[in-house]
Amino acid sequence: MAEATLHRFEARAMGSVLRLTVRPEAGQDEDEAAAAAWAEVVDEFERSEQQLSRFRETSDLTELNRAAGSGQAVVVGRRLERAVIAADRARRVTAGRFDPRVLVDLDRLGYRGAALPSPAAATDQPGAQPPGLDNGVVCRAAAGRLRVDRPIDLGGIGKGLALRWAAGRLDRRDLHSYLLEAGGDLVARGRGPDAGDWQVGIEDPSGAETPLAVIAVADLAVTTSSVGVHAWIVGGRPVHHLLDPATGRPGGEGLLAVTVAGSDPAWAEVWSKTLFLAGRDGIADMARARGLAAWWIGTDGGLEMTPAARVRTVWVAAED
Amino acid sequence: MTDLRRPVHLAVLAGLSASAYAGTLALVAMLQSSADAALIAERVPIRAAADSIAASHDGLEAAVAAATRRYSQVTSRYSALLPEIAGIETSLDTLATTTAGVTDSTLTLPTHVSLPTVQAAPRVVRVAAPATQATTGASGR
Repeated sequence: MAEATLHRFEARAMGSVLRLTVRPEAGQDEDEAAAAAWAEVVDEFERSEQQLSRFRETSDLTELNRAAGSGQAVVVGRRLERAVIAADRARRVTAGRFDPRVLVDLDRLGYRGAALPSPAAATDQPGAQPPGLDNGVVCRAAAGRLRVDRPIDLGGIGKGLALRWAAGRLDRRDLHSYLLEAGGDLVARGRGPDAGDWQVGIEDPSGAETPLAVIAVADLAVTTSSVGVHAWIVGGRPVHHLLDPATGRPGGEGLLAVTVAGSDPAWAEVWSKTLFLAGRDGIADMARARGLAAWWIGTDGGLEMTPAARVRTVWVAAED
Repeated sequence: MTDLRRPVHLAVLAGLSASAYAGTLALVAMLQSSADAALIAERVPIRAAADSIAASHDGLEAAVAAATRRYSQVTSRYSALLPEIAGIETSLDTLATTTAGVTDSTLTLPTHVSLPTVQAAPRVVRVAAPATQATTGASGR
């Protein structure tokens, strides 16, 4: 019996390209199974964006952020509740190096989403935390009701969670071979073309067409934190969107991009951002201490990787 | 004329004395009995406590006996292991000697080694990147 062909779909979601490459299983109607899988992905990303996006005026997160500091608990959807709990856990696991409470600083630097009440944004010093918040990102007033004291940004981890939930829906449809991408982050399941691993290129942040490396992945998530797109000039100085929670200013000195491969896209996203903020001097020790498969590209264009990443790397661009 | 009356009053006096004595004796006996009863009543909890202590002591004695038996068993096992422990200690001595020898050898090694000068750069064969199904990179494109 001939192996099913790969079906490819593409759209935009969460400000990025959303793409699905899927091979229906034997016994499934190919076109119908592939179309249903794509519908699941689109639906999951739409629901996640409606709850987690800080760019949508009507999202649950925007409503929650607008009530930040007022002491008012807001009714939120299940996805936002789970995302905030996951972000809070990530903050604790990374000892505060990952912290979603950087939205005021992002706004201050000009990377704005939906409009927020101005007082907090206008008066806060970079990285300043209001008193009494060190115990957590949010207060859960009750099931489905949240209260935050400071606006939060769930951009990266939110996309990772959307990938996790969409992949879960594909798994429940008995699809075992697919590649789901959302703006440079992806989840690979099963086998790719020719029954081999999925081959994923690590983008050259300089914009070159040829990747800096190619890695083979199967049943893995791969995410990248990069300043290749969201970088601009403020007051004559280059800034980007990956802020160090300790300072409220762009972090990751000496780095352009960090890629992490792991079993879960949300946690891969947390670690790629955390490793990026460690900077060129601290990233190797942190990544190796955690046993992470991580690749990083310095501002000099050089690619480095951990031993766990080396075993997944099938090709590296030759140096001139 | 001689008074021949019989000394009845002496007999009466003796009887009264005896009666008084008997009454006093009975009173003292009653008081003694009462005091003894009170004393016995006071000693009941003390006796109960003493019984309890005696029982605890018996238990403790049994525990000590059991511990003594176990101690004897452990001592016997330890004695049986002594030859093996001695053997291990001998092995450790040998290992320490070997380690010391290795340490001495490392001290004789040079701190750095000069590599020979490379006369010509190796020929680099460029290989094109394999086909990929996706690219990971900056989000927002």
